[in-house]
Parts: sequence; C-alpha cells; structure tokens
Amino acid sequence: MIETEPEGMAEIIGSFIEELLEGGDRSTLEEYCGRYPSMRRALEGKFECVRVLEEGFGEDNLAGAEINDYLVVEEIGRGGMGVVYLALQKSLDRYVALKVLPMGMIPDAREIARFRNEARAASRLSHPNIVPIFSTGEEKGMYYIAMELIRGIPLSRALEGLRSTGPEPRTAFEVRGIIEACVDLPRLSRALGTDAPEAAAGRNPSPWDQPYLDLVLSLCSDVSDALAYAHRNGVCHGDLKPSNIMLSSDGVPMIVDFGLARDVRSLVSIRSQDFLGTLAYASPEHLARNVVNEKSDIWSLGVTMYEMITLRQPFRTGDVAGTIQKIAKIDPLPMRALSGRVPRDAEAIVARCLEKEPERRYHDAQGLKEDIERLLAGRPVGARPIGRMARQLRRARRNPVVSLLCAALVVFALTTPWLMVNSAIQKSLSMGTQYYDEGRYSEALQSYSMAWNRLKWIPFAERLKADALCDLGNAWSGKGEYEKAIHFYEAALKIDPATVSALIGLGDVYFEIGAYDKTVSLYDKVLLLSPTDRNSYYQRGRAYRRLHMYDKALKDFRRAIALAAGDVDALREITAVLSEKGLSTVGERKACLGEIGFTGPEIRAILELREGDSQ
Amino acid sequence: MAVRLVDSVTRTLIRDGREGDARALSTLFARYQEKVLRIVRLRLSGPLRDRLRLQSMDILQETFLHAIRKLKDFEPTTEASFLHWLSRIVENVIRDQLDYWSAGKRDSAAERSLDQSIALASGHVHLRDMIPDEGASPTQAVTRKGMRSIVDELLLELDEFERELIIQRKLEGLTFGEMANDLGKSEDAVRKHFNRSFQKLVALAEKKKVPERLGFG
Repeated sequence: MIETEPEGMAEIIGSFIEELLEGGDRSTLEEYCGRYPSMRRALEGKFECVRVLEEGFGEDNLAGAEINDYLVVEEIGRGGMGVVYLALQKSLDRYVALKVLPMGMIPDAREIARFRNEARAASRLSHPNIVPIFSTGEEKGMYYIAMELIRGIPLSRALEGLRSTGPEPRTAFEVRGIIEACVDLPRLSRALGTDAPEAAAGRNPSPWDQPYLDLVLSLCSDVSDALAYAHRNGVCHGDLKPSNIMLSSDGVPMIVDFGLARDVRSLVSIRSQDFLGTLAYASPEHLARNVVNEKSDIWSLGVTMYEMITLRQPFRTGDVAGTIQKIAKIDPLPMRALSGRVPRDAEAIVARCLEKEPERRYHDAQGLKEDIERLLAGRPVGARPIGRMARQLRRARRNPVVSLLCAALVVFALTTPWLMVNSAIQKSLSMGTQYYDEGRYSEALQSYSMAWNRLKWIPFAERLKADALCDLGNAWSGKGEYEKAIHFYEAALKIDPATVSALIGLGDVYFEIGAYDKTVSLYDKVLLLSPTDRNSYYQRGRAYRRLHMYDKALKDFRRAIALAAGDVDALREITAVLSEKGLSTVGERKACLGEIGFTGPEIRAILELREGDSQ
Repeated sequence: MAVRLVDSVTRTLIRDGREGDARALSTLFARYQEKVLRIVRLRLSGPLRDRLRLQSMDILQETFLHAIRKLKDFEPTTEASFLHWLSRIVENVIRDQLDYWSAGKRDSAAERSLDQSIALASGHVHLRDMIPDEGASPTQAVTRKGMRSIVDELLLELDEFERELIIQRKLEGLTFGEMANDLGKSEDAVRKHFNRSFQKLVALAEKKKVPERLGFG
C-alpha cells in the first residue's frame, strides 16, 4: 500500500538471483528482504521460481548418481519429505528405497543435529510394522535415509483408489486390486529378487478375504502396535498420516518416517499443499502448542482410522484457518451419520482417539490396540460411545473460550521459527510507536510501513496485521491526512471488525471532519465490546453534543464521570451542554442534571465550574 | 559449483565397454540415458525434436550405443565433460539419422534396438530393464514429468544461445571456464550471459506462474 519501488530494482533482483545460483538459500532471501523490505514480495516470487527451476534441473541428477554406498537407479516416489529412489547398495548388493530430503529442507545446524538424532533413534526401531532404516547419512549437503524397499503403496494412494471406485460396499479385495494396479510389481520384484524377505512372513496369509472394516481394523491394530513399541522406545512419530503408512501387497501396514516430523508450523513456508496434507492429521495440542507426543500420535491414528472407514478426512476444510478451527473446536461428524454400517464400538474407539483434551484419549497406543482387538473379536470395547448430552456439555465448555483459537493463532504467527523477520517487525512497530508518541508522525509512518510490508505476507497473523494497519491509521490521522487514515482503519476492520483501536481511531477521525453521527455509531460498537471505557463515553458524549442530542450527551458524560471521578474534561463538557441547552439559572441546571441521574456531589462539582471553563 | 569427477563406476564401465562388455555398456547407458536424452531434445530444432518424440526410444538407444563405441578416442575426467561429450555425439548422430529418415531413406538396420544389440551380443539384460522408458506406468510418469517438462518448456522459449548456456551450466554441469572454451568466449562474458539468461528464465517462470502450478509457495 505505502510501497515505494526502490531505484535499481532490476539490479537488486539480478544480484539476488546470482547469489541464489551461487548456493544461496532462504537466509539469502531474508537478508535481501531485510535490506529491501518493500521488495519482499518480488524477492519471494523470484526465490520460489529459482527453487522450482533448480529442482527441475536437478531432477535427473540423482538417477545414476552415487551417494556414498548407494547407486541411484530411478525415482519411485515423491512427497513433502523428499524424493524416494530405487537404489542399489553396492557393498551388500541389495536394493533399497533411498529417501533424499529436498535441499534446503533442513535449514540450520540445530535442525541438522535434530535430524541426525531422530534418524538414529528411529533406525534402532525393529518392528514388523515399521519400515526398517538401514542407514542415514549426508553427501554434498544432501541428507538421505536408506530404507527397506517395500513392495506396496502408501495407504493414501489406496484410499484415493477406493474413493474413485464408487459407493459402498467396499471390499478388502478391492484394496488388493488397487495395490496391484499401482505398484509396478514385476519391476520391483526384479529389484527385490525372488528371495526377497516378505514383510508379511508369519502374518495373516489372506488379509484380502475379510470384510473391508475388518481389514481396516486389523491394519490399525498393527499400526497401533508399532506405535506402542516405538513409544516404549522413546520415539514418537509426530506426522502419522496415510501417506506415511506403506501398505504392502501382502496386506501389511508399515510406518515410514518415524521421528522425522518437523515443527508443523515451519511447513507453512515450504509448500502450502504439503502443509495442508500434514495439518489435517495434526492434533489440537500440536497446532496450539507444538506438542508432539504419544497422545498426538494416537490422535493422528484416530484421524487416519476415520478416513479409512469413511474415506473422508474428518477435519479438512478448503483452507488452513478453517482446518485449524475445526481441529481445535469442532467434533467430527459421527461416522455412523455417514454410514449406518459402522458399528457403535468402532465409532467409540475413533471418538476416543479424537478427544480434544489429550488426557481423555487412550492412555497409550497399547490400550488402543487392545480395544481394536476386542472389537475384532466381538467383545465389548473399553471406549464408550459419547452421549448427545455429554457432547453438548463438552461443546459448551469449549465454545466460550473464543479467544483460545485467536491466542493460538497469534502464538502460531509470533512463534513460528521460520519467521526470522518477526523481531524486525516488532522492532519497526515499537519504533513507530515511539515516534508517534513524540508526535513525529512521518517517522512513525515510515516505521509502521516497514513493519506492515513484512507483516502482510505472513499467514495467520491477522490480529497483528489489524493492529499494524490501525497504527498506520493513527499516524496518518496524526498528520491530519484523514482520508488515508480512514482507509487504513477500514482495512484493519476488514480483517477484524472488532478491532477496538481501529473503531476508536475511525470514530475520532470522523469527529474531526464533522461526521458526528458516524462517530456515535462507531463508539456504540466500541462500548459494546468494551463497556467500561471512560474515554469512549466521553467521546460519544462530545459527538452527541455536536448533534445537539444533549440528554444523550449528558448521560455519556455522567458515565464517564462515574468511571473516572472528578473527570474535569467531562465536567466542562457538561457545563457547555447546559449553556447550549439555554439553562442559565442554577435551579434549571440542577433540575436537568438531577433528571439525568447525577448525584448531589457531582451536581455541586459541575455547578462550581465557572462558565468560562466550558468550551 | 563443485566439479564432479567421473566416478569409479563410470570409469570401470567405460573400460569394460571398450573391451566389448555389452553389459557394461548397457549399465553406462542406464546411468546417463535420461540426462542425455533431455539435453539432446532441448538442443534439437523444433521439427527434429517433434520427430524424436514420435519415434521410438530405440533411435536414441541405438545412437547411444554408437556413441559409446567412440569412447576409445576420449578419456573423460569430469562428469560434466563426459556428459557434454556424450550428448554432443548423440545429438549429431540423431540429427543425421532423423535427416536421413526424413529424406525417406529409412535403413532397417537402424531400427534394431539397443535391447536387441545387447541381447544378441551377450544374451544378458541388466539394469536397463529397470529404467522406465516413455511407456512407464502412469504413476511413474506423474512423478517424473512435472517439474522437468515444465522447466524444459520454459527453456525452449529462450533463444538458442541462452538455452545452450543454461544446458551447459545447469544440465551438463560445466564450469564457466569449460563453457568459455567450448563457446569461444571469455569466461567473464560467459558468466554474465549465463546470469542474464537465467534471470530471463526466472521471469518466464514467474510470468507463467510455474511455482503455483507445481504447488509451491
């Protein structure tokens, strides 16, 4: 809005791209944005383009490349956490799935250390439903994880396939058909060899012969067993979702990417689609406080179960904010409302996983597994269906805390680690306020604009944005540029119509330009939101006085005095109103004030003020 | 940009290939097939590029084999120089063959695929089997296409010299010194031209909203 295009923009962009080509990364972007804040949008656009181009050029580089002991053969999958290749481990002459994390995915030393620690912990896990990690390592800045090659597809792809096959009833057999259609089995078989270890060894030999729901339950039982095992060994998954569960052609689910979850908030800066994909399975505490533990894994498995049973994601909406709100506050539609075939006990198990308060969920994954096993065996489960009344009560308890979500969102925006710019924004804002307080409005404007130009690109920081727009409005108002001030106040109110400071600022500007009726209606809103604000009664009273609505003015001044005893400004206003009403005698004035509800001492204080003191 | 030396596997494959080991040649082929094909396609003029797209992969495979046989005259040191050398030869062979065919003098011998050559030579097929060709499964095609083809589309909008600079630097991985040698210009001039070309490519990507189309940003 208040953006001036710096001179030599093309040169700046040119040198920015050159630096990116010489190995620059996100920190280069932040450095340039810091230097040229008004060019942030342009620089970010260029950054994304360079990233896409580099990936486009680099895509083939790994096919045929050697990464330590691995000879990369070809790409077999691609996702938010990197590209998976079929690779030959030369020393052992075996084929592996080599996951290579995208360049720039691990931005700093702290994250690298974390990646190493977690990958090391995950590589110690040994469970039939966890994809074994053979090794992890780094070469030329590329981080990779070598895993067992699974003859199968991610569960997410199986669900996609089921969605496209039409309505119920679904069968386990259909799932097998989807896996066979998706996996290039002959090719993988060649890679795996005829004597490849079967992941399904010793397990149910014909998982495809059972009803679909039983298949879902037994898969979830296996996954919760794997979770329980990992949790006992001190490893949480942190990003459990269907795309992280491989489903082998033998019907065995195997979890991948254990412990590789990143701060879900930092994903915002990576790819919005991936972020949404991850977000839909994240627990309320993960989103609000970045807490990832056993309970959040149970939540994610609950979401996955819900989706496997109904083929719908319980919390996903079209956008990030809607999804967050749904996760934080809204119970999912009962599965039985979507399909009468879902047994009550299955509903109860999923509902217990999806309790908003972690302590209400299963104590641990083992408990979840046991309940699923009970359901499969036709025995009563531990989770009890939640009655309608209990549901209502819980909802009622949650809803009053409207500010919770706002607070979560603000924390979300303020604490997001990738927001290196955050401190710069805060600095600009507080400098602006300092200038504003000193009456140096032009300087204040400059600082506020700087903050705004960074802030406007940040998702979720709506509260902060509204406040910053309001600051800009105040600064313009200070300069006497009312039209511009109105523009900014209105922009703030567009983001959040309950931004009190914007309502006040706008009300005052309208007062200055003589639009007193507008002032009154704006202060009406302020006082609805903030009914004990002395200043608002005083200001509205002044507007009423200009509109010759004297009784209303007097009432407001009386409230102002009640909230701030001895409020001289209000007393003077009252004296002025009495004069304008044509009440010249003490008696008339006393009677009028008494009618409005002033107390004796207040009336005395008003009458003691000399006429000349009034405005 | 770090110079990547030809690795031990490639060196061994070249050595064995020179001695007539068909399996070594097929493995070498597998390692460079996609990259070379991409580079060559970008370098061919429009009509030839279309023709190549229509023809079987066998053309490339055959010509590739032919090119590899020229290895006795060349001792590569870096990955980039090997790739550059290889792609130039393949490009020339394909150009000749396509010109030849377009004149209607189709040689049935040229239709013989690399598969057949190798099978005839050794009765042995190895890694090449696992490298999908254009007819790979749909899921593979989706994962492999995306970015690469979009970036290639953009590259084709640059003029020939700009495109060549980017091919040499970003796809073949040549140093500015090597590029200067090949193009007969000073290193500084090549660097400047390259940067300008890349900026143009970035502008094109932005104009066509490429990051959004690929789900970035």
